[in-house]
Amino acid sequence: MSTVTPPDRNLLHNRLIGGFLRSRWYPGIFQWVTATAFTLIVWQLMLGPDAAHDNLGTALTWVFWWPLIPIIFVFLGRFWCAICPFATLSDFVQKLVGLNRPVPKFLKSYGIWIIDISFILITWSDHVFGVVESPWGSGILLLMLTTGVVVSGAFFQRRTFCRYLCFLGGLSGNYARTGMIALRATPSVCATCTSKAACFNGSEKAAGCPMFEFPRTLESNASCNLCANCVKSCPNDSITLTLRPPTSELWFVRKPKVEEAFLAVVIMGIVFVQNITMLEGWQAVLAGLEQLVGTTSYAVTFTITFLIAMAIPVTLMALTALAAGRLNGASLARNFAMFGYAIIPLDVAGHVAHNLFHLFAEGKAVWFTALMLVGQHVGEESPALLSTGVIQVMQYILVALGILSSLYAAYRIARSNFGAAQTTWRTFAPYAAVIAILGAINVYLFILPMAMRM
Amino acid sequence: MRQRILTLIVLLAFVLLVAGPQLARAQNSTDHTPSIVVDGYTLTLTSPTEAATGNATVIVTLRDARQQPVTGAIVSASLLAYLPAADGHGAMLPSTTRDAHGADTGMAGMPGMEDATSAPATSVTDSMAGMPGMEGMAGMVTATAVPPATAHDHGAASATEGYGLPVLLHTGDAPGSYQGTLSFDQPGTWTVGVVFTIDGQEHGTTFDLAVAQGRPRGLVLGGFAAINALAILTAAILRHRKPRTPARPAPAAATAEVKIADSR
Repeated sequence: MSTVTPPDRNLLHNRLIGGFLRSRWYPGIFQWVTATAFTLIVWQLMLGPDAAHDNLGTALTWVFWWPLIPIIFVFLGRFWCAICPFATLSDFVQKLVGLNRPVPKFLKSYGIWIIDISFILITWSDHVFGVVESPWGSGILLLMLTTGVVVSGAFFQRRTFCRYLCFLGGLSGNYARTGMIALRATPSVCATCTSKAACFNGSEKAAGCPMFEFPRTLESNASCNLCANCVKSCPNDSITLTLRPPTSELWFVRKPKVEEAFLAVVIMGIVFVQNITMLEGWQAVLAGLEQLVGTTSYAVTFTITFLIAMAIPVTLMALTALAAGRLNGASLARNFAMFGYAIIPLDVAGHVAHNLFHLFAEGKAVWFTALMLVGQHVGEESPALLSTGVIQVMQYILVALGILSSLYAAYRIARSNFGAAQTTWRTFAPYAAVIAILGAINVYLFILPMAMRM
Repeated sequence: MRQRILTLIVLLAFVLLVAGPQLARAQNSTDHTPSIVVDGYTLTLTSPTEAATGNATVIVTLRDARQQPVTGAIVSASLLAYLPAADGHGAMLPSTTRDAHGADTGMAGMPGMEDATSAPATSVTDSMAGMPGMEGMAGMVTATAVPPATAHDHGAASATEGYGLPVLLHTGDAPGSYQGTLSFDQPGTWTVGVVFTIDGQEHGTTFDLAVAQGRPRGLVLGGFAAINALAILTAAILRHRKPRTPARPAPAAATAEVKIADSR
């Protein structure tokens, strides 16, 4: 449960921030920008140049947006979800024809698993069908998501798609837990509230929470997109917006869920895959695999690699949970669920570090492809914004921060769940070893030379 | 007001999608290949639309040393070789640099090629030896440019030989232009051999032409549009049939109470 926040720490008491978040311009002004950019991107992907290195849509999506998105999660939580063009489209369709049917029960029960599976499948498809490298493939992906969003907006309440189906939702939910900004309600104020949950249901000032969250009981950033609807609706100024240490939310998760922990651990494997397949030595690995399995089918060899890469962290964490269970008495599932969250900082670090390469080694591609859109051609100028050496140093620093943050999160989780010092350290030790191993694999992968995305 | 702006954005998106093919064609059409000077004649090879797999129209323009259109020439074109499209994680280079894989491909010494001042072609194969005006080309460098192996395309990328017979181009709309249809079965960079005969004398050169993967764009976009329209229409009809759901869902307050209880 949230605690009372001293007024001076509440960013909503800042006239500029509070005023802006309560104004009708927020988040609309950002939504218009992203909706326009989205239109341009879809147009380019579907009807623009066929080659990724000529396509502004590809550059904006995979060189600019995709690397920035995890960084946004760390600093601003799920703010992106408030201004995401898909969310805007969902709202628009809902206003137009929405039936506002309740969310199907199976989505509530298995939504996160659906998100987990779809995230894994999309990553797999990217490699097998070349989604990132193909503007057409990327365009089809966006259109499929658009269709899901339109159907969801037309038939179901609020942002059902964003909350229960968006493939990015699980990732963003997990990453947002590391976020440095938190929106919460003040329980003592809410206890006297007579507005019949205006924050949840909405008021004449704003709609209800699009993510089906009730701010009064909100204790995680995972599903809050900082849309500020509750800020506008609350008649008691109960809502607070505060800064907090990054990753602090992970130190104690009241109701850890296996599916969320599983995604956190699987993402580590996906980060491995993303790195491995972009290494210059990947061809040799593939050749070896082809000989081993007796087929040159990339779908087969990649699937094997993908499964192994995901299985490594999952198996390591499961074995560790088993070992820790003997020391702390908790079940394997509970241990896995509790400590899976500790991997999230390393996930974020590995993910951001990987994408820093694309952002800084290919960043000018955005400018080059924009020039090509107006008929200008760039010569042989490098698309790099920073040298490889500088990028690598940044990657190492990030991974180091990720390892330290994960270690500290694991320690805090152990301490908050197993108060006794001896049990805390006994529980922490095997997880520390796993985090060190996963961190070392990350560092090793970043040492090796990497190929570019476009 | 906000709804109007959103409507405008959606309409703009629709207009862009509809107008897109035309804009894209305009964007990707002419001036893809640099002009080449052969024996004092300046040649260009263009495609009125972005060259894509399947049949594509190509236009060769021919001008003399005074830059006057040359009419009455016999012009033929044939596909000589191609390099597969470099997808995957290839080097992030602008297309202009990526297409210009190399410079000199050993064309000097070929009949009619001595004066070629611009030689972007890189993948000319022995098959050119059989073409009129290309007799001396046998033994040319084959596949001098191989794109970097990619994560997804780990097989060796190499030029493929022996594509089609020369296609005689007929006189185009503009003076000095000759056009015909070539059939591309693979996306990538194709080497197009052009032979032209003026006053009984044969000349020849090659061009590199970027060929994109042909896509059923209209069908796919139309399909997605139809599905989305159907969903919206269905919802609209269902909503019209029953009274509107209140903006505040009835069970919401109860849900909130459940959440409060759950949090305790």
